[in-house]
Amino acid sequence: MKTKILWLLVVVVGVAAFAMLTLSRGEPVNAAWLVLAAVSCYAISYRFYSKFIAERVFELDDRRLTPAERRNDGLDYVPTNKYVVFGHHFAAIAGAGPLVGPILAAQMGFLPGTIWILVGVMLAGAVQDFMVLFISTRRDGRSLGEMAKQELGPWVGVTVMIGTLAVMIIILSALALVVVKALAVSPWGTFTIAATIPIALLMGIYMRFIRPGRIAEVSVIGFVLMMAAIVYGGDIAAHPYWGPFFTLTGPELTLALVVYGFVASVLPVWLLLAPRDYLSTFLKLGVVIGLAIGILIALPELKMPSVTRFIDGSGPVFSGALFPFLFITIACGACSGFHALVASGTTPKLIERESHMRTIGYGGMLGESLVAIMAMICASVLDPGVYFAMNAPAALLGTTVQTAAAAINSWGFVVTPEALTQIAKDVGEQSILSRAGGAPTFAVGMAVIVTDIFNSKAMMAFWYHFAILFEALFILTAVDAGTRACRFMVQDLAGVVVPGLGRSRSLIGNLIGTSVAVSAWGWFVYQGVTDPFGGINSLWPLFGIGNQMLAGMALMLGTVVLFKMKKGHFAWVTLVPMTWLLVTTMTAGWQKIFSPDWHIGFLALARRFSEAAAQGTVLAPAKSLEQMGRVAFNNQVDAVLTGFFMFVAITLAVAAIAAVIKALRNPEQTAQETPVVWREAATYA
Amino acid sequence: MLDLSFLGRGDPALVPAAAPDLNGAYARYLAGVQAQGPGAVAMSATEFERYSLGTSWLTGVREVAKRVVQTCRLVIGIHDYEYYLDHMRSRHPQAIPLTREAFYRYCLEARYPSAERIGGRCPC
Repeated sequence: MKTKILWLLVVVVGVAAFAMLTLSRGEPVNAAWLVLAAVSCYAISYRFYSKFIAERVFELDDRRLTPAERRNDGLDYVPTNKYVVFGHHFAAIAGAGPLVGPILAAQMGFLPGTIWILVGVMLAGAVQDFMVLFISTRRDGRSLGEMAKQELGPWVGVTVMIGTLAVMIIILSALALVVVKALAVSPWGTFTIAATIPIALLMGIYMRFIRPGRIAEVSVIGFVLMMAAIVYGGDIAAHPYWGPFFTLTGPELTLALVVYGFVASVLPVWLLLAPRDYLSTFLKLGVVIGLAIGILIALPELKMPSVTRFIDGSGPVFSGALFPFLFITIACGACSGFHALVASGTTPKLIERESHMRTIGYGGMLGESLVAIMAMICASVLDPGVYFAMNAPAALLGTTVQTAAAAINSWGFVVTPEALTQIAKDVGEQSILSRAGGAPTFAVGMAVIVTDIFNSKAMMAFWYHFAILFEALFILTAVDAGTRACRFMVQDLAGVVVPGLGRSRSLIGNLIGTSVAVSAWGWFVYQGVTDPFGGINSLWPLFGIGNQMLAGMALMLGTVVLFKMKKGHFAWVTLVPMTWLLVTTMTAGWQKIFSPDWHIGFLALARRFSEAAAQGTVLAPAKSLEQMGRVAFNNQVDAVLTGFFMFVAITLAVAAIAAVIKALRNPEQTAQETPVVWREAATYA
Repeated sequence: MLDLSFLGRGDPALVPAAAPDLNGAYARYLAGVQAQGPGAVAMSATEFERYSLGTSWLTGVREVAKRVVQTCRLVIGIHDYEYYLDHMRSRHPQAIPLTREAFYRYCLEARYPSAERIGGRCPC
């Protein structure tokens, strides 16, 4: 009875919070209501829905031995405490995605994005993570590709492999673009990021030769050096020689990133990759926890309206109407397909009891969703005028604060040129205009919240560059590791075509694989940097479509497994989110390819540029006819890639339907789980 | 690598360490329970320790500290060497376990994409 009253209270609080968010139009709402609405949604869905899935749908059974117990070797398969695995899993799934998507989506107001983040995570994202973790744990911790091959047929495994590689390349390029946007013409930021390379090398050598394996020690040393780099970065930026040296334009930064990505993924991991990974992982967890505490202390007002007029598709940050583009702009935080790879990676090999999967799989994703909500708060505490100045492309704003302020005022948001100059000065940048991509907006938002707590603007520039460093650092770590992963995927695929070309340790294979990987994502980044609409407008939807398609594939696999387990009557658990994801990605994909509006459609934009080129006119920002041709070609490639993602999703859907029909006809249960080993009664606790 | 031995070795569930009987407190407790009559059931030594003031509090803090350190190491892919040693000693007593350094290198290699595995962390 007591618990019933408690849960009723949670429901009442949640409803009240939502009422505050939706009904108080016009006036600023306190961020507390957003946090309360989110937390009550998480509590209710975790307590009831995840319990239902765990007990009725999956029938998790602690008497079954987990792979960690059956194959315990103390190295890879290790039964580990539930909360320790939770921490590990959360750190593995939470990256830059939940910090970027919600910030871009804030152009439609905070409410549409928030509702999708919450509903999406409860019914789609967390279910997907939980589902994949479950089926992988029941199959000795197999990877997504292997399971797709096992349950759906060998050629589906190859399709999943190619799809994953394509999504990976797009993710890397979208993330690298975020870094370029944040660091372009920003000597302070560029210096701090560049400084992490020698710091990491020092840490790597220290850990290898001087004090092997002293992680705590070396992480503290690295952290102190990094903070020093931020503090002295301001002086470096003002230095007559080093200032201009670290002032790089977009294309220069892109080239630097490509070279760096190549070198980092060819070098042995202990030298550069591992130490940077340590720094970025600890920094990431620290910032997430710190920011959550900061928001709770500061309880800032949300200055962004709950809904803006840009839900009609005319938004400056990304084009396209609320349906379907909101649902692909916010992928991570609501539903992220890439988690299917994480949940079928290390985590299933650490699970101690089957029932722990509920906390780790479902609960871990709720944690990531909370990060997305915090990012939404960071974007919404800014004045809408400042937000649009930072996120709209130069094509709409012009390049001076005067033109920017005029453009933003014409959209109905008030901002003065002086205010824009002042903010740039406060955070120690030359300009904050057109820095789309999430990181700078997040950094300013975080700096505002922290400044609010200490009530002093003196440290604002420090906090801004701290946030930039934090985000750029873990994006770059993801880029290094991702390039390495791409290289092996490329070699794998080559091995499918020509057996013998597979994963080899030969130097030539390594160099070729790495070159293919970096040139693939580098090409897209370069295209994004030179894009008339700022790049995010074309790359982020492409990433969203790819990522949601991957989620759809994982949920299809889940649906097939449920039917094979003779649990077809519960298949709606995966079918409903899967259908929604497919409908949104297919609609978005179709519009991105064929929309006659050149703000949205790749082909329409390509046509616009090639037709203008045929008449000899040059459209901004292209400067020559040759560049015009390149813009047209880039957009055609984007269209083809979108079509490819759609094709992969459709092929898999067909395979899944065939597998379901086959499973329905068979009276036996046909899921290929590893044979059960029961726990001996004596050790069952 | 941080030396965790001062925090106590291994998972208590797997390596049932004999609870230290401070000043014979448990013996006195047992005698007290038996004095109540033949039907009385005494709790086990471990459980007694959990219930007794002072020791249980420290054990709890120690346990939490250990978990926090273990989490911090696992997020960067370094497994628990103490657990591995216990595992090797109890299950494969004839085999020579990896040294601390070799164990650390194994974990390091396993975390990043390699010819054996693509690895699993979300780039986004």
